[in-house]
Amino acid sequence: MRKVFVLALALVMAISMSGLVAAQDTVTLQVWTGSSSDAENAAKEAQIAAFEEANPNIDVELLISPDYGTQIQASFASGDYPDVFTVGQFDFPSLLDSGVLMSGEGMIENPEGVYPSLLDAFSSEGTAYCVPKDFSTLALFYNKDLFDAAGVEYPTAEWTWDDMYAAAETIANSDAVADGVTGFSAAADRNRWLGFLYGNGVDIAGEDGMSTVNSPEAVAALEFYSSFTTNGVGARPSDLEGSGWNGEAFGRGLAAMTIEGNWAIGYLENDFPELNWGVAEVPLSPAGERGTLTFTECWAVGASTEHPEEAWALVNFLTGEAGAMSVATAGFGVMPARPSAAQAWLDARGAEYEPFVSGAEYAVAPVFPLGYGDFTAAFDEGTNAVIAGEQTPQEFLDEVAEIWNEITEENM
Amino acid sequence: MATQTAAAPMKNSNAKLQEAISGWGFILPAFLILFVFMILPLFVAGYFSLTDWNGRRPLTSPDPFELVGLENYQTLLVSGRRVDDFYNALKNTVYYVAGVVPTQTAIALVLAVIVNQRWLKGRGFFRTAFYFPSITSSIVVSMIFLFLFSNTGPVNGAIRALFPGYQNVSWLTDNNGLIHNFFGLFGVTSRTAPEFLTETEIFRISLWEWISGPSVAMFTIMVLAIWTTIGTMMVVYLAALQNIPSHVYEAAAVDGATQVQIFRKITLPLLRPTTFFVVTLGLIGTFQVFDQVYMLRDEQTRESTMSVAYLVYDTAFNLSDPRMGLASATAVTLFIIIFVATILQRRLVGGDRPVDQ
Amino acid sequence: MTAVAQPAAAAGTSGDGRFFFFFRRIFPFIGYAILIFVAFLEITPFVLTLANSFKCDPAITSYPAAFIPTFNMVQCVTDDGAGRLTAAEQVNGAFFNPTTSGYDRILGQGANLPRWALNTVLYAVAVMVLRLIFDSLAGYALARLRFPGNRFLFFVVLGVLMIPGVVLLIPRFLMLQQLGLLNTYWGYYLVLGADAFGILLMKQFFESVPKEIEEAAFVDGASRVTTFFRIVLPMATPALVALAIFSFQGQWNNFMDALIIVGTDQSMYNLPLGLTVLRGSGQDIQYDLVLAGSVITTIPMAIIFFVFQRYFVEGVSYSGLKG
Repeated sequence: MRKVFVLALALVMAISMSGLVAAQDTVTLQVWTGSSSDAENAAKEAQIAAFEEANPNIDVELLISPDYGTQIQASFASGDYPDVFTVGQFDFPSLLDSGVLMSGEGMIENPEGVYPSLLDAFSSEGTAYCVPKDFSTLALFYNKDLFDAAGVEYPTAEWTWDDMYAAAETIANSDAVADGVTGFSAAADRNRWLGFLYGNGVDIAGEDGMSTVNSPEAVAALEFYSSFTTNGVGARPSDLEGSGWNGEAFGRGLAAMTIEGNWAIGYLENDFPELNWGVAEVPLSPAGERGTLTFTECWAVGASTEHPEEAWALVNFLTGEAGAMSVATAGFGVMPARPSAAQAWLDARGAEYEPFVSGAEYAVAPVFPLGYGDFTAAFDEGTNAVIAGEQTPQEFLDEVAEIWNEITEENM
Repeated sequence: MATQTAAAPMKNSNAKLQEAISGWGFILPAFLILFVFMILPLFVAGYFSLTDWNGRRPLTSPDPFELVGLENYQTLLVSGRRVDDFYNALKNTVYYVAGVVPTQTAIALVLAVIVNQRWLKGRGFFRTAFYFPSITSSIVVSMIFLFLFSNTGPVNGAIRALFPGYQNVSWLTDNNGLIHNFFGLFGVTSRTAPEFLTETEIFRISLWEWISGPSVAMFTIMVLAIWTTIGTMMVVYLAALQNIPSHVYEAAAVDGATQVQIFRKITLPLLRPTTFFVVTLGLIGTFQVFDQVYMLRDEQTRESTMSVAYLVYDTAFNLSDPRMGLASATAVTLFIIIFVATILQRRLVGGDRPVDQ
Repeated sequence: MTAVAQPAAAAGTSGDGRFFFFFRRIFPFIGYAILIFVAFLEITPFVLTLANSFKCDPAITSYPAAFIPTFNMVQCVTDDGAGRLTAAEQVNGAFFNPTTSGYDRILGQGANLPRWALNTVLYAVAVMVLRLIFDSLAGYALARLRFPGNRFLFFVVLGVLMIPGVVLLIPRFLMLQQLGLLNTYWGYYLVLGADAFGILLMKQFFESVPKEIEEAAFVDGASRVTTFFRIVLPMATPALVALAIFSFQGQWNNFMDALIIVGTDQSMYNLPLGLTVLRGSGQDIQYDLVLAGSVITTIPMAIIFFVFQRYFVEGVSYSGLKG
């Protein structure tokens, strides 16, 4: 029955598409991406226009989607998906598994010039399938006025977890700071606290595929992150006058510190021009290391494209040295994926944002392997419960470690 | 119909055939549209629910999915790791339906009746005002609600002005159930509740959790839903109110009936079919609650505001682990639940069968 | 038969004096109190939307409740792009200095806006007309005509309402693609040209209309079709108005269906799709754009509703029949 269904579908599609193939001198590429800020959309359009200018035989039809996830998924399902499209790191494992990404073997220009951690996020068994275009990392935001008022020194490169906690405690308890202002805004989000886990020298799973998420180091990381809220020296953003996210709570001056990504820069400058703030690298763990997370997006070529040469030419144009430089000089929140353009980004954005660039050296893309959806769901639920003080980190991490190991055993 | 009308003698088999042809002809265009674009896709989704398709692997590729029989239903309803997710979502949805449907119906009815009075000045203004939430874009509505219900927002401010001892409620992020909170007033909490409540588990959710009531966060979403839909329901009532011949009112007024009596004895019974309609549609619509949850939810209230329809979306379009097969199974299950609930409601409240009466 | 529609106003006014003899003094006060309270609740969010659409982002985030504009127009960003107006500089208590920045930005970058607005009108009008015809025909058949399968079809239509929409997204997309209807006007019209809610609304309405009128017409020898369009439909004005409003408003704000049907061709977008692209997404939401876009789409719809709602006048168009 399935074969008949698929066959019928393929037949109908073949018929409906056969009329469209005509002799053409120019090659048309369908290119899809999601809508980001209006300035970034405009910059993408400009990049595409520059590519068309340089390649008169290639015509690019760019779609900036209002709801990218839904649209691209529907197009994958139908088998008629774009030649070139953007892929987020969390989507990558399942898209690779679905066979819609063309291997970049031998097609990617100068892959060594891309941050290795970013290229790794889009590679499988040594082959890259998608070229990172830009990325973000997490760093420590601090409110200078609140630090000054409480008489606390600004964060330094030598800051440890203990220093950070002490600062939050002092500020939260300081009489010079208004009631309702807390030391640290701690979003109940795995994509914030996992940085501390990696920073404490552990990973989600060991070499044998078994979970290390309940190892003493991992438990210590979550105990540290959740201690702010459970001891009342920090709060979730929603408990800070109902803020929607860390950036808002921090921007409104309700928290002296928070862990956020470089996307918050533009937001803070735009919505809170009077706020007096700075950025530092995340503090050192007891293991003497730093850990932060990276979030990245890449340009991929669709496996079904009829014009792989032209498609890769476009991807290389968008993600190569020149592409990275145009991301850098446009001065958005996101950073170029090539270290060669990092300085240009700092020049455009401001040298004080150096901590985000430094983070690229030790950042980890917090992506779980395919098939661990049940683990992810339990992980998110438990993270909420722990930050809210309803469960201890040890209990929670033991529980999810068990789920992880069950899944691993099922897959073996 | 045939037995009670003046036209009855005219009816013969020829006329009946003609009526049948007209009937089919009248309904055909609409039915075709519904069939092709609603019913067929539902069957396709039903088929997907028997597969392990992730929703991304192209259907044109050699083996996009495996047929897995009823495995998805088993995972969802009986023994899967996420079985409590489904029943939790169902619990939330049922509390939502039970809270929203009667409230929105009652408010819409009262508003429609008042706004339909002839003595009222500025009827156009009021009607438009009541319909405004229906036409305001949902992203703006959610923004405004986030502001109104934030910890230091106007809602808490207004309550504090009325009751000085009031402790701010985190309307948007409080996961505590309303019924639990009510029990809490009498000192009954999860620690002091009778053991048979906390120890008995049905589908991995304890009895105590089953009777939680909607969470405070869900309650806020319910307020949003009522606020946005009463305009639509009011318009349905307004259209129906015009069907009540004014001589009925006049006769009642002559008999010296009071306004309240007129409402209870005349308006309400005459609006009964409309009320039935509004309740049926409200029931069907609220069981599928998605938009309102999507607008106001927060990661922290993931569990306590998860509705079944949202679970479908969350499963189907999950970034890292989309499972179209499981999502389709969830949707089909929801469809069956709504169908049964609607039939039950028609049986319990009494159907509208004017064609056969 | 046409005279039937006339006596409504006369019948209504004659009883007016005695009708409210006792309660016309007390009841209106309670009525007004309820209405004003609810109207306040329902309209405040829109007033805030309108006020905030004339503010800069900092003021929207920090002082959303200031709602009285002054006459002192301001700029959000200085001409050289270096200085930004802070929230405290724009807002003073309930007053704020307005700016048109949000409108300027959204209108300035939206070269496609007129096209999207035109599309939205086309979609909304075409779907409204189709639904007025198809839904009322189907609703009438379900309510009045006896034919085999009537009851069954009623449950089918009711069942269609029960389908969770999210799960249909991908199957519908596949269906449209195979039919070659993606990114076409006809695709949009066809998919949305009839809806279960409208059919049930009309069925519901026809059931409450006295049968005698149309049966009399039918005895006179008019065909079913003639009876329907000449006699039945004109009586159904209130329900048709309601259906027209629901249908028009639904398409005016329709995001999800438009995304699936015309979402991959920007020249086919409606306003909800287009404005979503313009205002961008992510955590860094540009509220001035969101709010200005929302006001741009809400105002025309509010005017249309205000015009249409006049048809809801108390009084019954066929009251003369029994009276």
